[in-house]
Amino acid sequence: MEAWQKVFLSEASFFETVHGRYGCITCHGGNGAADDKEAAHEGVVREPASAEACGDCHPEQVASDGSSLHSNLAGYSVVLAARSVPSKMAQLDVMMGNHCESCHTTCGQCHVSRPTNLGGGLVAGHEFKGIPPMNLTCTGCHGSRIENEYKGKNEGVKADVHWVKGGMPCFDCHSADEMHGALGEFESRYEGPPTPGCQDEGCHPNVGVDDDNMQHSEFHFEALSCQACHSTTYKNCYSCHVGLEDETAYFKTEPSEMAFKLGRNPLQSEDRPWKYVPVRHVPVDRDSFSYYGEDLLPNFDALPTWKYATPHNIQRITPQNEACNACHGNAELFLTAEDVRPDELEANKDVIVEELPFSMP
Amino acid sequence: MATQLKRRQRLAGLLLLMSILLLVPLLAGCGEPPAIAAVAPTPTAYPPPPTDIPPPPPGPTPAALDFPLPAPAHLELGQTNEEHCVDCHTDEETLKALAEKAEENQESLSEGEG
Repeated sequence: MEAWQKVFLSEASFFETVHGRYGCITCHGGNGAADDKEAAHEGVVREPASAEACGDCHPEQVASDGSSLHSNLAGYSVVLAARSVPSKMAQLDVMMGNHCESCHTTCGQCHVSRPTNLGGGLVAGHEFKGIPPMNLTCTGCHGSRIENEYKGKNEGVKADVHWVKGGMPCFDCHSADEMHGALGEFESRYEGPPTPGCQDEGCHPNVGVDDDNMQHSEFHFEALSCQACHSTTYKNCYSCHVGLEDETAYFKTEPSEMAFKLGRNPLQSEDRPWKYVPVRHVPVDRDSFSYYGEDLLPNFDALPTWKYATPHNIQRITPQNEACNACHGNAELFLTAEDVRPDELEANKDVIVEELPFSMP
Repeated sequence: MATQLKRRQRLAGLLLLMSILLLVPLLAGCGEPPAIAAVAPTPTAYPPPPTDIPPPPPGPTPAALDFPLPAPAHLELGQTNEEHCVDCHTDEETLKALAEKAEENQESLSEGEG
């Protein structure tokens, strides 16, 4: 997107809309009387604060916004705190400011423009989109893993059945309440019950031990998450390192690898009771943030690097569920010590599968 | 004579008949009303208690506790002069001419998938 396109109001009719009638300066500031570019933009705020710009008319959404993981980035800060110690958090906060803040989403970055993470830019001439455009906002950030899985962009891997057959956009499953933090305060997207749950009303409420699928046994429902049987090969990322050059933040990662691995459930709870779940390698490394200081993750081993995952490439028939022994006794399918890098064995001790399910006769 | 006697007898019979016709309905109203059969009362049907009681709403978030929010610094509509804002940002050629050249060839330093 060219620089001029990002700020081009292609439709003057915007000024006739409810939002447009507030005018430019009400939200963005600046000097509308000046005819010089610099003077006109003095004091301009590209990204108006949600509470001030939106709270007057949308108080509920703004009130819960602080609980939104898209807004508070709790998922990042919680795991960094777990892998680090309080004395190192100041350096990590600087790192977060340089590398993660652009992932922080505001009202406008979903409903008006593309996320800052992608360089920004109006999506439809400043029109306010009640439902954000999935391709420009959701998958703009969640592209390399989620979009590629969901739309079948990983070579040789089918797209998600909900996309191919159902044509379901992201927000068919991920509600506005979830996006706006209205479901409560969570430390990660996997805290609390699955939202949505596959067997929720309106999805697959009739799937269960009483249906006519032989593999939907009580044992399987207790042992396996839905994705363990119905997702397939997905992307795993390794060794991300961040830094600054001429005040420009950058990252470098190793090439990703495609794999499907079932590990022991690292988040086993009443809401997620399964013994085995797919686990995905995340790109964190012991010295990912060494640009900002030495040994900033002294408790690196406190969390696994193969993490609970919900791959978005759901299929009814998958390689692991097409026959009993495609799963039972299949060492290729499970995360064993051989799959884990030697310096990450301690971190992943709780997810490595030591005893495979027995082979069927 | 006999004719007069017959007329009196007919008149007396007619009076008697009229008297009976008047008395019968009057006497019928004094009779005991028909008994109403006793029926056992049917139990009152109450609706079943709701089974899908909605969960309590989530507790207030820190942001919610900050309410009421400070009043937005809205200006009255039409108070500001935005003529130049609109003129420029709706004119493709002007925006192209004023676009920052520095952004044009900026390459990302990042490598690998984000």
